[in-house]
Amino acid sequence: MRSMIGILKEELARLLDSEKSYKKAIKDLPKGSFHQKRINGHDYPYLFYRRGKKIVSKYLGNLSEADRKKLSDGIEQRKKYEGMLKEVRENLKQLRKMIRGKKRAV
Amino acid sequence: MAKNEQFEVLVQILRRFHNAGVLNEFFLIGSWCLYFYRFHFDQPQGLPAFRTLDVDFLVPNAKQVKKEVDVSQLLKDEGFVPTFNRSSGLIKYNHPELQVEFLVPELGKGRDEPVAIESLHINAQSLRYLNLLMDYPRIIAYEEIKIRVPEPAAFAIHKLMISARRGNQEKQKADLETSIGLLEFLYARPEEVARIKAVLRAIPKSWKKTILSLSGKHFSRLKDTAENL
Repeated sequence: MRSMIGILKEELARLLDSEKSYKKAIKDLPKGSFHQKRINGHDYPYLFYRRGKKIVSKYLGNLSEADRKKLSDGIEQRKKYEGMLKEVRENLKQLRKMIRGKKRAV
Repeated sequence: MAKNEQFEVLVQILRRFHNAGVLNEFFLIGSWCLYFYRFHFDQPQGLPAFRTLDVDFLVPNAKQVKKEVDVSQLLKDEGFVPTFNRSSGLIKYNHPELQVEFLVPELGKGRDEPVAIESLHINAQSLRYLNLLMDYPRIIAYEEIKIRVPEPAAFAIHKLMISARRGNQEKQKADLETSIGLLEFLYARPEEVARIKAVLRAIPKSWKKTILSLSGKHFSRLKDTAENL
């Protein structure tokens, strides 16, 4: 078997790369959640997101169906990536512990 | 990072490719083949263990892929993030559990920059000796999906050959261990020895020379087989 430290360091490099990529991808994706507000019998598209402690709502104007889908997909992708980033960071934490442990043993 | 979790992520990707109608455009190569060989052999005890987070997909006929499927988006839908290597231009797909990379067989003198496979919205690195894997497909059924992998004999011989080209000593050692471990397993099965002979009969002379030299150092039974075809 390959040296354990070598495998762990390789995985550390990969996870650091992944963390960087997820952060960059998340930055380019829309945040918040998309809702339709019904006002006087008409539906208006709004984006709700957090700004510090406040929840802000932004009217999106006359969005085409395609743009609505793009926005909705982008928000979903962001949430997915945020979950993955959390996992990557947990894996990094575990891995660093393992590397420290192996180094002490050697 | 348990292997089962990684396997579940991999199976999800394979299901996505299958549902999109493109799984047949890919060969699963690399060490994950060893995991799928377990579903092929009645008694898989003795198959070498492996440890890898890399999933390598070979696209044997990149220029002939007619169906347009955004494979990059399929991977993103499973939580993979594209990671762009500035120096090589290659895009790999990272996930907390795995990393996916696409490969194509190297043609002619080879090229440093990756090959764009536009119909699948991915790019791929070209590597030598991949024909050795492509020419010996085996289909392994797992639940509703059928995965193309190289035959174990071709996989073992390929691993032996590429071990000599590794710059990294640890990876070289890993390739040799995998190759020798798998050859030990295959030599206990007469039908697989027949496949080893079939592969050795068909490979180019220059490759055979490499195999004789490497097997002489690391696995003499293969050298004997190659010399007495």
